[in-house]
Amino acid sequence: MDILQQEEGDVLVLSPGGRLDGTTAPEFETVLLGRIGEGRTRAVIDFGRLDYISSAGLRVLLMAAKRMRQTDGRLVLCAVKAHILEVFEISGFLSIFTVETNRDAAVAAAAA
Amino acid sequence: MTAELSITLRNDLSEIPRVTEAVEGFGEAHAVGEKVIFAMTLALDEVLTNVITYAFPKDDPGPRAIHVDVSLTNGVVRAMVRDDGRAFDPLTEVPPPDLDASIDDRAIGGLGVHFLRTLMDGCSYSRRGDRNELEFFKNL
Repeated sequence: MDILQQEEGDVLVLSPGGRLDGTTAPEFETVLLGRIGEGRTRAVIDFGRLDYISSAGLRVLLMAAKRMRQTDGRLVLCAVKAHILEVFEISGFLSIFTVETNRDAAVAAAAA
Repeated sequence: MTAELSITLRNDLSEIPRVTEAVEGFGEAHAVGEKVIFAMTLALDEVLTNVITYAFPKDDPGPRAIHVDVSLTNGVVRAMVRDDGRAFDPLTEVPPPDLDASIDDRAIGGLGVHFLRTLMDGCSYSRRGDRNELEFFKNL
């Protein structure tokens, strides 16, 4: 899958494109958990280019959140499309994750 | 008026995008709204992922055939998934996730069946002979 990686100050911004499902989640897991494993404690996942997510994708987000918690890190999500936001809602993810409307707000929240 | 789509796939996760694309195309061709298409696609994705991952013995993985039938009749989109794996009723055998658990306590997994229950207007399982049949529907 195509995953853009950018640095905004101390904050790592990952932007996965297309579909985050059982076929693409392993690659996203390798990248995201790999970067956290390198010691990143401030990260944003920008969902602006993502059209679809299944439980396989949510599983990776939850694993990342658990890891970040162990290191007192911050993981913030942003620019989530309405139908994906609904999936977050029925998964109870809105009480686990901070979700901002756009990248600037997310980077600010992660850096704080 | 009834419209129907039938797909047979191998028990390999890489087959799923072919199914979801076909269902998206079917929905668009019959003016099914985006919301319903997305819910149906996600439910099918989750069901097929479970069947492919858990239904067949690891030491005898096949290839095995899984059958998907999708229909649109009188404002109802219906899907039926049939496989000849071990008997398994996800609707009774998968416990619902604890949505209020903290990050630390939150279990990783179990969301797929939760999506099926939550996003569909109805679902049912039956074992017929050596086959699992899982049917689910959503009203337009």
